[in-house]
Amino acid sequence: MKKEIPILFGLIAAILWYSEFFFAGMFFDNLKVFFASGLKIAGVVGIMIGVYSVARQNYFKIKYNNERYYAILRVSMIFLMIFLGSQRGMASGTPFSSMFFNVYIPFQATTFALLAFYIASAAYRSFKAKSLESAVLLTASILVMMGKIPLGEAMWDKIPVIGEWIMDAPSSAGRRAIIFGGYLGMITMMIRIFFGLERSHLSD
Amino acid sequence: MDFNTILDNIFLNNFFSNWMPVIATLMIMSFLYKDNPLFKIGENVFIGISLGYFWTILWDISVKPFLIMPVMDMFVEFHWTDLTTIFWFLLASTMLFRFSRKKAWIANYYFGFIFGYMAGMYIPIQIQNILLQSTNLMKDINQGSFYETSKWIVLIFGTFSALMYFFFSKPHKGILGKTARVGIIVMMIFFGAAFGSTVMGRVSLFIDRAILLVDHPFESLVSTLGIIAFMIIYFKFIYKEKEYDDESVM
Repeated sequence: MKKEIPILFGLIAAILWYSEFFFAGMFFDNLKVFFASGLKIAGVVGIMIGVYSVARQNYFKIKYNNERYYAILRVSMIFLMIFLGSQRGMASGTPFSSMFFNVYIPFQATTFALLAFYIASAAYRSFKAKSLESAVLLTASILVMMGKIPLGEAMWDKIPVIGEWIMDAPSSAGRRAIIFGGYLGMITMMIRIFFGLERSHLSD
Repeated sequence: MDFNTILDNIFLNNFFSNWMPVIATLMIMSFLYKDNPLFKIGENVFIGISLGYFWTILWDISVKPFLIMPVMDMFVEFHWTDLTTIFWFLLASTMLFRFSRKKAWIANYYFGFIFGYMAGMYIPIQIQNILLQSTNLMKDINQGSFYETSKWIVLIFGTFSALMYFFFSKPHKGILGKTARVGIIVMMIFFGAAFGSTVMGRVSLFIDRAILLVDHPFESLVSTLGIIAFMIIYFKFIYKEKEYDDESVM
């Protein structure tokens, strides 16, 4: 009852959508619209649940004094943005867009820029050419980095060409192989869900 | 002066657009020394603003056109196709039961349905993707120049050998073992190149931040001195090292 009926629901949905791929006609066109519009509504409910979840988390943080002042600050910022968006609109040149460009963008860019330091320090500690594989990894990363900066071209004008070749040929091959693996894994997972063998998305 | 003008005066003046990016940048940069209240304030302001921003945008592009408007239209004139909206809304609302400990299974109806639907949708799509990727690989080996031709040879054999590394139905010995070994090298080059690109992306972001600070020398100097003064006072007089007992560390 708790899992069997939902699995049956899923099987019906899968067969309906799958048959839409092979058959044509008004019924299947309507089915497509039914699923497409339904997903949008489900997305809206998902947003509402996200809002509820954030409100719930912050409520408990404020109530039980778990970093209370930071939670209050966070919630105030949410309300400020909602207020600015609803009061003055979201177009360019409004307080809402000013907050986005002058506060959100600098915070986001700096947070990601900060990772440069940590990546560099982690690489300094762990990048050692102890085996052929690690030496290849190190060489490829150095060549790609040198190929993208003027210093690399100043050292030897072929370095950018080598960097580009690495990105286009072996790197692209590795990426394609991983993407292929991802597709195959996804197909396997979907077939398992289709036949009700995969149940990890259902709770007890 | 009306309220909207006051808002415009606060958020749309030069003082705000000159000082805020500099302060935001330096607040986050202060983490390079140690975790501190300024970083935490910045972090929480960032989270709050990003949530508020995206919720407001989503309200406009998603909630209003796909839920509020159809429901309002339903009250004006009900059509039998509106039943689909009600069905999907009720089905999706079962997700809320995930917050309950005892009734969490009710959400299975939604997840079972949506995962089944996704399974039906993605199987043909992924097969098409694989075929598309494979057809893209199959091109004339003569690409005009040695440089381009070498790219294609490496691409085709590299992809094949990297895939062979994930082929576990046979022991990696003999030709299969050697091909798989080449596959590892290809993937190592990919990881190295991905790492290099990520580092360059992050460094270019950092250069962008540094340019911002250089473009606003007065604001940068005053903010930096203020943040340094705050951190000296905080770590010298207020900050207390947390003491962990053995159990909490475990």
